[in-house]
Amino acid sequence: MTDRTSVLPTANRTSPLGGMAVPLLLGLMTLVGIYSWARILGGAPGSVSFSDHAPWGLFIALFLLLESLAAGALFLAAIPGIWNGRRDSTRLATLLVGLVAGLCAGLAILPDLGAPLQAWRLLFSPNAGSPMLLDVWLLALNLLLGLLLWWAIAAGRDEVMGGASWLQAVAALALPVGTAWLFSSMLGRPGWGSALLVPEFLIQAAIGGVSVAILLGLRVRASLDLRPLNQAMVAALLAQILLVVGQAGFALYRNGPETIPYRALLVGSNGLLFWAAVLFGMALPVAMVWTRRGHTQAPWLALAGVALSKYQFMVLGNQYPMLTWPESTFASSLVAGSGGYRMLPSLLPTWEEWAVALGVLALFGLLVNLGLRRVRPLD
Amino acid sequence: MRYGMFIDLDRCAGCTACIVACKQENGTPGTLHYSRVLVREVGEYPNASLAVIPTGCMHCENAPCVQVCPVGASYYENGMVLVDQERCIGCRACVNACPFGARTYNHYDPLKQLYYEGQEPTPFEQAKAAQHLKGTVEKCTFCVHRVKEGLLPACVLTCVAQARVFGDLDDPDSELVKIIRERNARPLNPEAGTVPHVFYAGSF
Repeated sequence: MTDRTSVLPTANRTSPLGGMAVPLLLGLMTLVGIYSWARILGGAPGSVSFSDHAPWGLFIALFLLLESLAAGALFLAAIPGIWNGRRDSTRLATLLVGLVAGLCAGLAILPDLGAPLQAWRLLFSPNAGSPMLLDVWLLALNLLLGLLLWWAIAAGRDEVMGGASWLQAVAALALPVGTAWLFSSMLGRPGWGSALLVPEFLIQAAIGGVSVAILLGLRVRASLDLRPLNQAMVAALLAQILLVVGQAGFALYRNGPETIPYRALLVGSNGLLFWAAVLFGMALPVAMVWTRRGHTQAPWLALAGVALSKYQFMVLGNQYPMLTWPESTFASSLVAGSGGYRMLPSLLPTWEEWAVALGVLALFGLLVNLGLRRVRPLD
Repeated sequence: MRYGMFIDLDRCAGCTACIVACKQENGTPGTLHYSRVLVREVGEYPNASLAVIPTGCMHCENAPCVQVCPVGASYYENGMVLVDQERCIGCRACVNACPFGARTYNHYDPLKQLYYEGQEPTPFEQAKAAQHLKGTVEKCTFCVHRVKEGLLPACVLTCVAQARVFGDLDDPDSELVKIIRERNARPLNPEAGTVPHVFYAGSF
């Protein structure tokens, strides 16, 4: 593996920011997203698709994707050893993407709240025992530490940089763990009830962060050695493939109700999407780096794989809720052979939800685009 | 004081009067229901029949919905699990956490989205509307407003088959505790570890 990736070319500079047309387009998409959110808030008929059977959908999948990017990018930016000096511009760019991704992850949640004006309660009127609150606080902590690290790097404050880097690395690792606990605590969604969510979310964060760093390294800095990052991406992708194989084997060999949701993911109506994520979002990027064919595009595929996996994850939880109405019941203590879990229709986001999600992604792209223009002078 | 309920599945006729009484009492908007009746076909023709099981919030002692609520909008009161609508942010974590599907998200503004097009809400509906905030999560309250006045929950009062018994689980002499003991009643999904306060006996 080392020999293969060691011959990959180092980065070459290309024009990354696309003049003013790109930010203008992204700004327009953001405005469309805001308009669509206003339609949802105004209660436009049919503007939301979630139900009591499938309460979380596209926005939460988007949150998970952006949070993965944030955790991975912030963790990498906190490790000084992999960059060319402490003020390496790719390090700053990665830190920037991590910060913006974290911010936009929070913004992705806002449209999902039924009462967004009450969101301040998450910080000032909380239930400290809630795993969701832990996740909110971890995200906020990561943003604060990221800003501190940014300031320390930009201002050349070495005495702050060391401590801030350590704290940031630990907080970035804790973020996906907190999110995994949040989902695994959802007792009514057996599809999410697994301790494997912790390694799964950590691996996806690693893929997200490393992919971002490689893409930035290809575009921001000319002389960054991408070999360690490529190796890390391949290792993370292989780990994810192993995790998928492990879960699939468990689901197919064990015939209990606890494996029904994952089995449905493998061979159900979303099976095609699942296997597309495995093949094109996990296996293909590994092959591209391994064979050195199109390896500069491999991080994009890996990111697409993470995005698809996050959507699949929402399907996994939504497909088989416990004791839902009127489709089924699961009352094993009273009812032998009642049918147990039962598959529900998949969540199909409305056009307003798609527009809001694209608006958040556009805002993410816009802030990164504008931010990278500021990072350049440090190069 | 821990309020609880017993439901006799052998008495329940599946008439859904409890659903109607609940909706009327609480003035819930649109298709939002606190009380539900699950229906299932059993047997094969010519011996087929329908089995029914009324459900709703189980007012669990170890309620996952209370635990996961990030802002403390769900809370315990005398063994009941209640929701502070003013505090709820509508994140729906509790809907995901509930293993009984008891919680429901309110998509409706009760004064704007009416039952019947062109008809004004009744004075009763207008009075109840303030309790139902759009964008928040709602559920059965055991009719806490009636219980505080010493009255029975609407579903208990209206049940024509007298399939429901309401009372104090901490009172060993109460009709509720006696019938739970006599009928060897059990909660749904005890393996979930939520310790429900609604007990069932009979077949489904």
